Amino acid sequence: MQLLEVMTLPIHFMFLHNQMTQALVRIVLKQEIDSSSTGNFERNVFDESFIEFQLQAQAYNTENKFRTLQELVANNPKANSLHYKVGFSIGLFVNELKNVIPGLKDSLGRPVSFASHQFELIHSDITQRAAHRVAITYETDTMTLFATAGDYLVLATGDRLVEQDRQPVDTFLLKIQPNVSISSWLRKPDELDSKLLRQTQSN
Amino acid sequence: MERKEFLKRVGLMGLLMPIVAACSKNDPQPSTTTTDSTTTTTTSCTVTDTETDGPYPLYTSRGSSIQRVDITDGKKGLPLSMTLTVKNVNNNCAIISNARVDVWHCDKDGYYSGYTNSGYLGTQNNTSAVFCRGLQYTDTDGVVKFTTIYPGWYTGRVTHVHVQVYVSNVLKLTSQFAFPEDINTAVYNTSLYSAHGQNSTKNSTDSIIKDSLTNELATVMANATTGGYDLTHTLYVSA
Repeated sequence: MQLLEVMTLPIHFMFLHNQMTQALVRIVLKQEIDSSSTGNFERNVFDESFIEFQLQAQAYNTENKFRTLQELVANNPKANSLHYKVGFSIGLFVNELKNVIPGLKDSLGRPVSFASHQFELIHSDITQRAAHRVAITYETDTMTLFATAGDYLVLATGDRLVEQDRQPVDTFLLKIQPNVSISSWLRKPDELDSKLLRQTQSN
Repeated sequence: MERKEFLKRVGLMGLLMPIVAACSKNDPQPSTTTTDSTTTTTTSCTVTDTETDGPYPLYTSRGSSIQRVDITDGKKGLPLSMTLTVKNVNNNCAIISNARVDVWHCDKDGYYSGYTNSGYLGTQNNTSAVFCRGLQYTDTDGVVKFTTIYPGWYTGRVTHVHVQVYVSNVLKLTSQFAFPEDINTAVYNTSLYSAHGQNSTKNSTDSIIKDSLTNELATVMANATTGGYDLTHTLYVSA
């Protein structure tokens, strides 16, 4: 759009500005779990991943010279695979969550679903159970981000960018908060630009 | 397995001594003439050679998503039934029960689950998949069984399965086993596998397997019922 048009058609500028915040996104929440975590899920993940770390660290510690994840990785970069290996030891616990992200609610207290998760070891020491710290990052399926309202994201599940032109779309508000992020952003420039063009022409 | 039962077993695992039984006279006896410097020799059997664990083996236990017999996860391929026996070179080749055996191999097109990898079909993000990965604990006969598909191949390696054995929570073996060459050829001529063609790397030229074929070549027989193959292999550990 030409600058002149924006200046002469401020309402269109507002429209454009709003449209540009719209995108297809994926939301992530990172949950950290350590020895102080409570809750069955968290305790299971903590206990099982520590045992598994002790088991699998042996492959990279044949002379029993190392204690921590960081030492193992520094000695042999292949030990980075411990994140994956240990992660699959808690797969059934994650399945039991039934795709509900632990602790994350929308503004009405409703749960938010995740489509995938990734486990990582933050720190671990084969001799110190209390030092074990892990994280699970939950990622939603594609969502449509329509706008922000204060500290809240206005979201809908799935790709609703086109649908909103024809009928109302069910939305929900999610507060921007620590450990929550947007992991993927896709604006559909062609579609939006052509829509903007239609709007401009019809006015 | 019920979780309670498994918890009980995990709790007791540290206290359990391996349960052993004598070898039968028909058990295969690998050669003791190997010159591999890492091989331990006893009067009757030798430790399976150690091999690299490959890029990303995955293990698990109580909350495991891979503790299972059928590790196919919907992957297409010729059925492969694996029967693995764990034996102890320190106890006259007696079988070891309650040993944890982890296996992992690639799918018919040469791709692993668990991470992003590239092959002849391009790059695949298999981070959230666990196909062709499993773990079991040996039964009172020292045996674990897995139902899977005949592995494919990827450039630089002959057809193989990764294996790891823990006894009483101690890692005793990280190894691999290979398949008879004529069966690899026959399998890769079948319609499910033929798109990828034949593997130019053979058991005799594979850098990891070639010097260990005496104890890392599995026995594989056609199974008329399944239309696939039955594999048997013995893993010798020092426990």
